[in-house]
Parts: sequence; C-alpha cells; structure tokens
Amino acid sequence: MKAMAVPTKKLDIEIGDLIEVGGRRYDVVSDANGGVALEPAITVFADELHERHGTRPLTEAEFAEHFGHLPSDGEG
Amino acid sequence: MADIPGRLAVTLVFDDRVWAEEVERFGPNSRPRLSAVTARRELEHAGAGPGFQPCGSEGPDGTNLSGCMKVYLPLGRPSSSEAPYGFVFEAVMREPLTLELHLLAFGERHPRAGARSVYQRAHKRLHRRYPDQ
Repeated sequence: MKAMAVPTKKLDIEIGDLIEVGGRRYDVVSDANGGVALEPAITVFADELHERHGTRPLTEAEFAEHFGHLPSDGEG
Repeated sequence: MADIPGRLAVTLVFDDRVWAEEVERFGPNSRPRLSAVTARRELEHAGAGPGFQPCGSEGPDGTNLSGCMKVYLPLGRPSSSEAPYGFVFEAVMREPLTLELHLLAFGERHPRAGARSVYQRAHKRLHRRYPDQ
C-alpha cells in the first residue's frame, strides 16, 4: 500500500498577528519552544474600557489607600 | 455600600465584551466556564470580600498588573491549590469618588505549556501586548 503524504496548509503568519479560524479569532503567540500557538484573541483593551465606562485607573496612592492593607501571595 | 467586615467597599463590573472574550471562549458546560458563571453570581450578590488580593507589578512571568486585584475560583476554597482559576480586575475610579473593580481576565492560574495564564491575559488587556512580545 502506497504511503500518502499528509497535505499541509502553509500559513504566512507571525507572532502578534490576529487570525480567524472557523469564525473564532485568535492571537498568534509564542509557544516558548521556538514555535507558535493560538490563544483566544484579546481585542478589547483597558483604555477603551475606560472610555466606554467613563472611568480612569487609580493612582498608586489611591490604590495603596484602598487596597494596600491586603496581603498578596506574589503569584501574579 | 454597607460597611461589612471583610467586605470591600467597591462595585464589581463585568463588561460584556470582556466576559465574551474571557469566559465564553470556554465551552458552555466546561468546568472553567461554570466556575466563572457561579463565581460571578456569588460576587454580584455578596460583593468583593475575603480572597481578594492585590496583583503584583513584577510577576514571575514578566507580568505587570500594578493597580489590579485578583480572586481565585472556585470561591471560598480552603486552599489555593483547590482553586485553579482566577478573575483579575482593574481598580478604577468613576468620578467623583466611586471605586470599582472591572474584570480584565479570567482563566487558569497555571495552564498547560503554550497556553496563557489569567495573569498574562490580564497583562495583554492592560498593555496591549503579552509580556514576551
């Protein structure tokens, strides 16, 4: 039986690109092994959210005032 | 907001577009999505409280989440190892003096290799790029 090569679709994409597959959008990201991976896309950003909601980020002093007393585990 | 011991005097906001990108990327009956839906219901009812903690400006994976708060899900687990997911919120001010926490990201705290953590996704939503980009 003759071996059949697996057809390969070549994609001309780079890390940082936004792509769509099957109606879903993905960010092209590094897979930390020299290759790429697809991550569900993030297309809405904090500055746009502030504009949408009429808000602003807290200053460092304001954040310390309201939340500085809370412990943190340093995980992220 | 009432001054209840352990409760933070802050309003939680779940923007629908952020919710769609963060939570609805998981299958409708998947464990992560159900965890997020349940936690949101609980938080919208009871408000932010025990378990909320500040994020770091120098995370181990290069993330800078200064000005953000996080909580592990499912809520109320006795050990953080039993809460594999997290919400990350940005602390914001609605003038003149209304303090709010706006959802930035939801996801796994320690995902499989190649997938981005909830911290990395929050970093991108804040800074428009992943830490390694």
